[in-house]
Amino acid sequence: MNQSLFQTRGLWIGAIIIFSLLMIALFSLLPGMPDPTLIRVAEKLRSPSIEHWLGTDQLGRDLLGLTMRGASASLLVAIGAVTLGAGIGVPLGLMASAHENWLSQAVMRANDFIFAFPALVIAILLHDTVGAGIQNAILAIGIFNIPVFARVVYNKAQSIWTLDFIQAARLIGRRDINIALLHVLPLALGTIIVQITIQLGLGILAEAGLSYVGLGVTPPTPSWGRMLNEAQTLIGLAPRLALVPGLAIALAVLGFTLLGDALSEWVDPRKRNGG
Amino acid sequence: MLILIIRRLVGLLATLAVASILVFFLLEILPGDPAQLILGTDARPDTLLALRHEMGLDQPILTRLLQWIGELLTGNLGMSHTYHVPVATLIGERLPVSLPLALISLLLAVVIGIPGGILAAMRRDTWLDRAVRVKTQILLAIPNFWLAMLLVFVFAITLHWLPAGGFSGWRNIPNAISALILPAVALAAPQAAILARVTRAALIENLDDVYILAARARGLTASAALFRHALPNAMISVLSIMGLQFSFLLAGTIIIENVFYLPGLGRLIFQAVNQRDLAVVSGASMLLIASTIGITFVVDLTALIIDPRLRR
Repeated sequence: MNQSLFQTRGLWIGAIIIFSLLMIALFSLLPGMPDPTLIRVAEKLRSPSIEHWLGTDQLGRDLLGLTMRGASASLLVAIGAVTLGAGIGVPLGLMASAHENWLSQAVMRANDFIFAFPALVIAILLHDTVGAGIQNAILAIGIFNIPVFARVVYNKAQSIWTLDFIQAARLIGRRDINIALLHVLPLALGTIIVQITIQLGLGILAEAGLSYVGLGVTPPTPSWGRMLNEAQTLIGLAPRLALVPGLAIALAVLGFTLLGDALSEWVDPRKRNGG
Repeated sequence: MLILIIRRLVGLLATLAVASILVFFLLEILPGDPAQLILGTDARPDTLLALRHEMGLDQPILTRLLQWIGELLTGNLGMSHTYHVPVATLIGERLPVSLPLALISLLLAVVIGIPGGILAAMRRDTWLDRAVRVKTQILLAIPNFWLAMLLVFVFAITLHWLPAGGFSGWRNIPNAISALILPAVALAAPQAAILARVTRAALIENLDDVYILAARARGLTASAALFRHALPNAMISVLSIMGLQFSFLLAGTIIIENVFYLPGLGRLIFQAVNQRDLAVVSGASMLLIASTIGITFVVDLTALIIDPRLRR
């Protein structure tokens, strides 16, 4: 058990990163904060100073302010996509696990299927159908979350349905939907929470990728992915413009990964000494 | 065994059929008239009508669906409207970039990831195991296009060792390979992390099994038991992940191809969607989807051949 200390550390580091991220996102949205999207071309590409702690970008915008505000867009998209994915995927997985039927087959297949599609192609197609912006990013990422949650819940719930007390509940004539909500869902909750953490991290990565190719959050809303895109041509001139948002993405994703890893060990004690 | 293979084969064909219908309808729901988009808003109505006829857009939807499936079956993917060459030719031009890139990336990921996973499993719960674990977590958190930018900054802009982008073909082989090194490293990094984690988890699961205890009781050393017994068993799940990774690398390189200005399949699709070149989009997407499904099928079959327990 000498590993448990290390794992607790992972949990704490992850929790602190995520908490700070949330605070930064909320703080940057406070009404009194200076507007990070304000363009002052006269002050472009300034080095870090007292006034601009991380300097300014090619349009004279404050890099620190942009990065802080970028956290809110990232989180909003990731949370929206997880809400969409879990909101549809969890009930689907629960329903599919109650009986072996066409639905369970469909849930199993859909997962293999949706991942055979090049994700970015779907995002581009959605971009053309729904238009650009936050809702497009949420939809494009959320669609991929649906089968993930359905599959995870299905796999977990399948073993729960065979438990004795569930059989007993069935025998006394409880309806499937009641059993699912009252008994199966609470037992599967730990697994769902772990998956939520993992998908939030992946969502932040995906949002960054989408915004980087211009399919995510639209200007002038600051976004880490688009900041990286704009920094690319300037990387020889001002590498910090690329370093800061990239580090922000990596830290945010790492926070969710650490949290998810630690939580999955908490949910499944068998993993405590292993994978 | 033969029945099992036939059953899988039928499943494979059914999946391919559903995928082709899905691709067709996905493109069907795209807003905007492709003919209008090609000609612009001030096109004359009769030109528009003629192009719509040439593209077959005036046919009923069912006819076009059947036509699309027929085209797929004959391997004739139609004509590109922006390049005025057959889609198959376009794909053929791009594959010599995408395919080697995917192969080099997977090779890098295997060479780094699998030994890393084995090492972590052998020295389980030591500082080495924890170091591998932390490293994989960090690699998985880094967006690969950011890694790509950093690599360009260090190795192309600062050190001038490797080109920052572009690809001038395979006539000059050293040049071609040096153009693919940085993108391959950027693509391989997260894949290596995934492979290391999967290898470690699969190995540990097998190492905890009683047959390893039996092998140790028979007098095998810990590493002999690992390499001779646990590793072959663990490789089955590693192999299936590698199959997925290869198809992901073939398709998932769109962003990296954009960073390095590589004329690969991903960029072809990306540009074709923006230009409403539907024949290219559907043909190239279908190729990627079919390769994913095909690779999964081959991996499944290989697992069946390697592991007799799966045949039950």
